[in-house]
Amino acid sequence: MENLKLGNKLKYFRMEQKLTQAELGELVGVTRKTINTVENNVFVPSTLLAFKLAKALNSDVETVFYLYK
Amino acid sequence: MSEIDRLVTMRTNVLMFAAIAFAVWQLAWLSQDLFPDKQSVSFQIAGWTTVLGALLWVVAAFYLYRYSVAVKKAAACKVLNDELTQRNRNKPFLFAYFCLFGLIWLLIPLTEFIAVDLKIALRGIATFGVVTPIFYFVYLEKKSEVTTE
Repeated sequence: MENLKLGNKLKYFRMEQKLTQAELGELVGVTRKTINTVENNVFVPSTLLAFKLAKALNSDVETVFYLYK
Repeated sequence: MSEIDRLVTMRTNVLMFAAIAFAVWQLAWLSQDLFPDKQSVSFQIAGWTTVLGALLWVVAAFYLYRYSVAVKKAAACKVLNDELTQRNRNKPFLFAYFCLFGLIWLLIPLTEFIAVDLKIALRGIATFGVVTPIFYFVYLEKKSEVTTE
């Protein structure tokens, strides 16, 4: 299989919900720094955290996260 | 800055201070063991540095206690131990484990060729084993953030 990376539209959905990184972090039980690193593709979240983030943003995990080359 | 952000910053600062204090204390002690000439000025300086390092370590222990109280008060234990923190903690732990493993295995054949003072060697390795993962953790914590909101 090709070497794929995990991307996300976390910032877009977060802005749409008018949430700050700290507020989103509070909703899913992580620090603002974790949200920041996920948004900027520095840190790949676990499946559980990805689902929690999607749920907090009233979306699906497939919509918020995607694979790219 | 939110309470959680303040606690994250406090954690890195307290850990860095504790690591520096521990390193000063133990390395000065180590230099006294390495150069045991009690009349020399360097021995006296190392002695006072050891005392200073020990005092700094007591201060660091106090700040570590204050940090743990602040975490309990904010009920932020779980948040401060999230996935990113665990990754930033596991990497230095693994790094230090292999370094210690390597140093100990290096020490065994070394004793065949030179007279190694085991007390000094063990103190050096133990200090390295304590200080290195803390500095590495602080580095990862400071490095991981991208400034854009």
